[in-house]
Amino acid sequence: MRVYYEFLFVFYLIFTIIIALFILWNIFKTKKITNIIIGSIALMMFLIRIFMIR
Amino acid sequence: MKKNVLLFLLVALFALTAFVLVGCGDEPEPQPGPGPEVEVKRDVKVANAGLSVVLEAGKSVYVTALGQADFAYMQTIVNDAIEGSEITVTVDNQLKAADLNAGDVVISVLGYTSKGISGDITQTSEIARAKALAEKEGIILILCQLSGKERRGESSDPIISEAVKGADYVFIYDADDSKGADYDKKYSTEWCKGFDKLYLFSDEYDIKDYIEVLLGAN
Amino acid sequence: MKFMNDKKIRLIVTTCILTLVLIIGVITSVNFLKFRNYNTEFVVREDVVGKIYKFSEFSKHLKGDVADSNIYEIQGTDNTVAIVKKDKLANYNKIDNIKGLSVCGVDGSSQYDAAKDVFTSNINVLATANDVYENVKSGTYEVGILSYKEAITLINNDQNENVDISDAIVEKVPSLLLIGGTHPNEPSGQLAATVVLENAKVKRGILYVITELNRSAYSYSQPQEGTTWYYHLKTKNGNTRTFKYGSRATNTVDQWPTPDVYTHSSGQQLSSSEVRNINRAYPGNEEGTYTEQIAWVVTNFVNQKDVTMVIDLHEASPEYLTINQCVYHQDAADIWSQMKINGFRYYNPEADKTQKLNMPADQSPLNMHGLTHREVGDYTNAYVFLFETSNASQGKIRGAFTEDLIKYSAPDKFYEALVKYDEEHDTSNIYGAPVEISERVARHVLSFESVITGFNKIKTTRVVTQTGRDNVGDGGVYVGEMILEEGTVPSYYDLIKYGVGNYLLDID
Repeated sequence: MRVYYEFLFVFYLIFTIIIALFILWNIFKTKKITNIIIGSIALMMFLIRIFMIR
Repeated sequence: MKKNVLLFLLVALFALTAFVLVGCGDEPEPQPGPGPEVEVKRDVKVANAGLSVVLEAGKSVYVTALGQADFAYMQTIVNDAIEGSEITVTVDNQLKAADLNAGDVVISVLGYTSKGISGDITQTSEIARAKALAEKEGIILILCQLSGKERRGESSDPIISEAVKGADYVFIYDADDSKGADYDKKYSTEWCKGFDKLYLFSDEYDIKDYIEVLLGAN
Repeated sequence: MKFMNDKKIRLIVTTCILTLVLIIGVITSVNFLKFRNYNTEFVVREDVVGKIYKFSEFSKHLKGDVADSNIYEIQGTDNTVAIVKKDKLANYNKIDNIKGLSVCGVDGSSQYDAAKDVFTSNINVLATANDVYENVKSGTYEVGILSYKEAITLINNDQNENVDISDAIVEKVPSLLLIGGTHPNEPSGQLAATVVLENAKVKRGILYVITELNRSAYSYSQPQEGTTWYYHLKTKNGNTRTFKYGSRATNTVDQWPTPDVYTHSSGQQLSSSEVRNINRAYPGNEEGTYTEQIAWVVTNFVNQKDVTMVIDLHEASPEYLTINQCVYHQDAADIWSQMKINGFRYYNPEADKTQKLNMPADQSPLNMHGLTHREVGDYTNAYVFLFETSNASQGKIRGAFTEDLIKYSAPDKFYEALVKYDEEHDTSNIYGAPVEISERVARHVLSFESVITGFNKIKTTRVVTQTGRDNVGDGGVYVGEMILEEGTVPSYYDLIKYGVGNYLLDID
């Protein structure tokens, strides 16, 4: 059971990092200021999760 | 056409609002019940309570619960009351009126608890059981509410109101501090109106002495 | 915005916004981490608390982790204990290993009387406790029988540290495990356990106290609830004690993923977030989820130490049905009855009479799984009780969430309005009007004392076997009562009048 959780967690972490990178890419690509703000906030939430702060 | 539709919608909205406001108006203030026709008996010493033995030779004593609350405590009170005597008691939280004979004594605790309700035991079945016990001819029905206001309300009251119709004695915990079983005076002014065997106790364990006398265990 | 078409300007704007959000994120993260790593301090009276167990001693995977909390042990000063030489502790840790050894005790002591039927060899009588200690230290006798207080005093005064108390149980006294902090958003449970830990002294019996059962749940607050993180109480010397207000469930950082449906080991199915609710995880599982590992600590500890009584302290929102009451395991029904008859009494000096606190109870439903009052009762020999008080900060009707709401030191206008509505219309929207934290703690502390009162009335002798509960056999025998030292646990009246802070000790 513990092994399952750990494997799934690694999988989840990889996906989270990939999505965070996509958001970062989009922040610099977009021309809309609202997208930049929303993307930055979302990125912060992802980072807090990736670093297991909350 | 557009104007007519708008007008119709406006009138409909007005009518609906008026309907809602009227329909959800405050309920009339509850009026206090008529005063009791008999004096409320509170903390009467057992010697002055005018009790006599109700248990006849050869008859059975049962302990049950209507609503399933405080059943263990009721058993303790009855066991303490008959301690040292030769009386035996049958404990059955689902006692059916059909299983009783004339002369049997039934002591039941009143009060609903959702934690006691499961499977075949529902509030509806408890109300039905209370009604059946109250209508059973020839038995002595002693009702006890051991907890206060917390065992009253929408869930307990339908059970209590059915059971008291056939009660021979009603003993309830009420310390006269607005948190007792008779906090709203429903027992004394409505359910037990004209009934002179309603007794109120500040300490519910004192009911033990009354049961002791009624069963002839002293 | 046309200026955003320019690459350079866009880069500058993006970098500025990102930097600003990053700064806010870092500040937030630092605050989150500070809260996660903040250790609530509890005062451990060294002359009273004999031992502190770690959770990991009973659930190995918790070692060094956030959930590796403490279980504090307070031995009764009159308990009969055996002292042996320190280098023999590992061998002389069970009564069967020391029964046949040479033993000495104090002439005429109650401990000598308690021990004389246990040892196969005659107990050699000596004049004083010090004589017993010196004779064991010198090796004249292998075992010494003393009271716990005598033993611990002599051991602490001895610079050579040659002698220690054996784990062998000479006299099986009743014990009680008091659990606070099961749900960190229920403050009175933790506070009541803390008051007992920092004030109670035991004359006979063993008291175990847990102040933070689920430390993982204390490491964060419930998302979307907007709760304050800390609340403060002033001690009688004016110093501030800080406590955490956490979440009901284990932190998702410690336990993930959350399934859509949580299936308990009994087969019972509950909604997803209940998988991280420790009070749905009992009896627990050392190899299970993080929450189950923590729950296993309690079950394993109770079984290993053969704890007699377990009390789990909780709170609930004022609109919750099971409020201001007790839930007990069916095996504890006769103790409950005695508690109703003889317990919940407190002296009110203003009225100059002893008054009784109203405390209704329900028996634990047989088909409600995962809770202390069901599973710990089923899987151990302990008599289990759970108590609830009314907590406005858990409710949904509340107004703004402030520290005042946690302590209910200022009325919440929405709850006050609803309580008034219920009174005027005879409705039951609120099942327990919210009250100030001191009153909630007072209820719990009085409930704790009442459990002991109820137990002492009937369960002064109990025989259990290895396999069953309360079957006559040759298992452990409890003899006698559990006795707290009088005046050490604050009374119901005093806690309300002087406030719970008055009974919290100052942190050095």
